[in-house]
Amino acid sequence: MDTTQLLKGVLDLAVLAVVRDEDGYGYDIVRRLRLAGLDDVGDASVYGTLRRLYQAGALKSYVVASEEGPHRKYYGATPAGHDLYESWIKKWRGFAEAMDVLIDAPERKTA
Amino acid sequence: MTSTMDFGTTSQTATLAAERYLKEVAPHLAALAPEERADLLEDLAQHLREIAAEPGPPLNERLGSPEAYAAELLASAGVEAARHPEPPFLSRVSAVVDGARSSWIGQEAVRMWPFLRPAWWVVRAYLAVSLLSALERNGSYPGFPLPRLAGSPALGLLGVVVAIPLSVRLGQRHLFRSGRLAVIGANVVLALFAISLLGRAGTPEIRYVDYSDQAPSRSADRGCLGTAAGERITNLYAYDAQGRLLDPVLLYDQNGQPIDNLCPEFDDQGRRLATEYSQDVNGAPVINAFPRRQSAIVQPERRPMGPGQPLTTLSVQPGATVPVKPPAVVVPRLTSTTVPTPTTATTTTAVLPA
Repeated sequence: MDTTQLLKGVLDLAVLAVVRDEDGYGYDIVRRLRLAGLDDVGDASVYGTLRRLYQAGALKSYVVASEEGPHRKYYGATPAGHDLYESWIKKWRGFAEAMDVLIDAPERKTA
Repeated sequence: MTSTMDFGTTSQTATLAAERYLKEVAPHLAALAPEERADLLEDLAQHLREIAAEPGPPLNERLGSPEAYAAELLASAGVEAARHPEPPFLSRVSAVVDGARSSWIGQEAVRMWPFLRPAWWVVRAYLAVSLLSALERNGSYPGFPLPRLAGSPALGLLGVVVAIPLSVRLGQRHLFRSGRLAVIGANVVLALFAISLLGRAGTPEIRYVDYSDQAPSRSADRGCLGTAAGERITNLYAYDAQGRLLDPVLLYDQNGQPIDNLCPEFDDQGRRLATEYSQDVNGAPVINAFPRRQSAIVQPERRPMGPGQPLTTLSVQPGATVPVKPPAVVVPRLTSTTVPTPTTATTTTAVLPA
């Protein structure tokens, strides 16, 4: 199964997870996601997600001048973003448990 | 990490790479509503510049094909596609705009724009204060180089000094679409206002001080008011019956037209005259108010150099001005009766010497 299909549904949660404690700029967020193990995450998807979350008010954004290169646009979670993150975590935990049960059940039967 | 020395070239290469990639992504975002598309492209340009500036392989390798990038972006950004296809007129306009942007001049303009923006922020602050001044003065010329606020150039200067940091801050801020549209609208208004100022800069209305390099000539050739002897009249002085100078008087001809066809460029000694016009409450010059304040500009005296003489002998500083004083006049004593119309018999009796 293509991982990008899986990522689609959880990218909002993943992005909020990496910016909830520390603000970051687009490329930095992609890097953090990949470091966390989501190797297949694409820049376009992350950027699109950042834009959508920003427009929904879950993220704030500001530009930081950089002496070494172009200005960087940083994103950070707003209070609404933190609330959203908490509610998604609950949903994700419930979903993941259900998936685990589904996946493990046949194994238990065969064991 | 790049050193500060090669930052310039690295940054330029990155910007070029980002622009190239963006140009290839852009056509695949055509399904978006024009406003949404423009907003996305502007933001994406910044994002791609950031990525291009990071060390690594070329953008095409890092990001995949522009087409796939656009598709992935559209899917994740949840942006609305245009409900109606773009009207033909608008699509033609954007085609022209796209064409202009990709032309050599357009690309230069796009490249220069980041450096020119701060200059525009300063200029628009000045223009905003000038516009305020013009509105306050019912549309008359706001004053140059300093616009007047409440009639004062000092307040105008203060206004400009306050407006510049505000304008720069506004320019640096990232605005939402509605805010950005408001700023673009205000910029257009200020640019049009600047054009109107330039258009008026050549009109005599703002020539408070009138210099001319033309040699004195007979008054008749340019419709200048002159004496019977053909000398130019450079100023007018009105006195009452008691011999008191009336200042100011407003003079009109028989048709009620203000009399303003004086050519006060040179006095009878050939010295250049600087003329200051009276101003109305809005600061506009009143051209038929007399007497006009004038000063003669004194050129340094040039004496022939000879042995034993100092190299230059100046009686006055070069360019010094000498205020022109009202003439000494003796007013005739008038009888108490007035003349009803000029055509009736004179009431003043002149006693001619035998």
